[in-house]
Amino acid sequence: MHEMSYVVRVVNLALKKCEEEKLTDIKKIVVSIGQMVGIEPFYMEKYYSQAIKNTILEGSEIECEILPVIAKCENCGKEYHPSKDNDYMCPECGSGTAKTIQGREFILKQIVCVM
Amino acid sequence: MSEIKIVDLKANVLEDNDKLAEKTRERLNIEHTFLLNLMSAPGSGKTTTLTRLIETLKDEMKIAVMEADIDSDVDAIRIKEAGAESVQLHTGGMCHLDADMTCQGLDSINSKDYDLVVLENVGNLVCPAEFDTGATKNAMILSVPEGDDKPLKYPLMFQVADVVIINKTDVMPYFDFDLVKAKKNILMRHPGIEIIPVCAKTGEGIDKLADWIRKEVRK
Repeated sequence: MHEMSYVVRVVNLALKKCEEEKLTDIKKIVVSIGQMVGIEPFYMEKYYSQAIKNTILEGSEIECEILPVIAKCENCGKEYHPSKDNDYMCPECGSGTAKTIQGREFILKQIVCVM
Repeated sequence: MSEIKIVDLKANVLEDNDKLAEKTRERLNIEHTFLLNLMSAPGSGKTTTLTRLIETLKDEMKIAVMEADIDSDVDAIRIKEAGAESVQLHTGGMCHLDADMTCQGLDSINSKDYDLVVLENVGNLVCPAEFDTGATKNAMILSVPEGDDKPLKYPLMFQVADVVIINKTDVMPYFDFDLVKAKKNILMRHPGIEIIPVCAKTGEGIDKLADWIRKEVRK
């Protein structure tokens, strides 16, 4: 449900970057999104095509890469992908206290254009 | 011949918001105003909890509430009756508040005139957790009918919260809500977080919440 506000933000940032880097003929922008942000790439793509109308991004595509959640166990230091199968606990020591070190990002990773 | 060029940026999309949020916290610090971002699902009792809190604290501090309702002043009237200033934020149907809207709200109420400002965020457990509003602290209300498994379903909300208020404790016998399990689930998401069970309807536990606010306002 929040894809639209992310699309607006990412389009504004991409337009700013295109101006700064003097990029034209944009083919694609690539975004990296943490799994915890809960973004549906389907809606990102759908809204993107609307949001870029009448801008230099018109005609380009958006590619969404989802970054899996990585937690670091505060007890034993193990880095792991929390899994529902063991209640998101550390697979090494069984502790539940962990810091999220990946999974909350929302990054404009690349702009692909024709030179 | 034309060739494809890939420009690596690795730019944080929320950078502008995060910067403004940080600036807002600095401003609040200078103004000695404590801004509490209150988040929860709709119907968890945000306004009832707030009115109780205002009744308890209004003689000790100046309080204002910024409401993010989509369209209604029902809550604003209740807040005013309880004894605090209230302002409506125009979210235009947005599912969350961001630092920009918060800043506009703080300007419109003249935040430096208050010791405590509560930002009543949009009723939603997903989006409000993702956008830093610039608040000094984040609180979330989990009400008993929602279930003790909510921390498992909405992990980010429980990670960004500084305090979890468990509301509607009076109806616990009627729901399969296990307080011990709820606390365990919350602590799993956020080790060491403060958990305050209250019943806004009867006022039970509000004194503990008021104590937490007093401590934070004094900081």
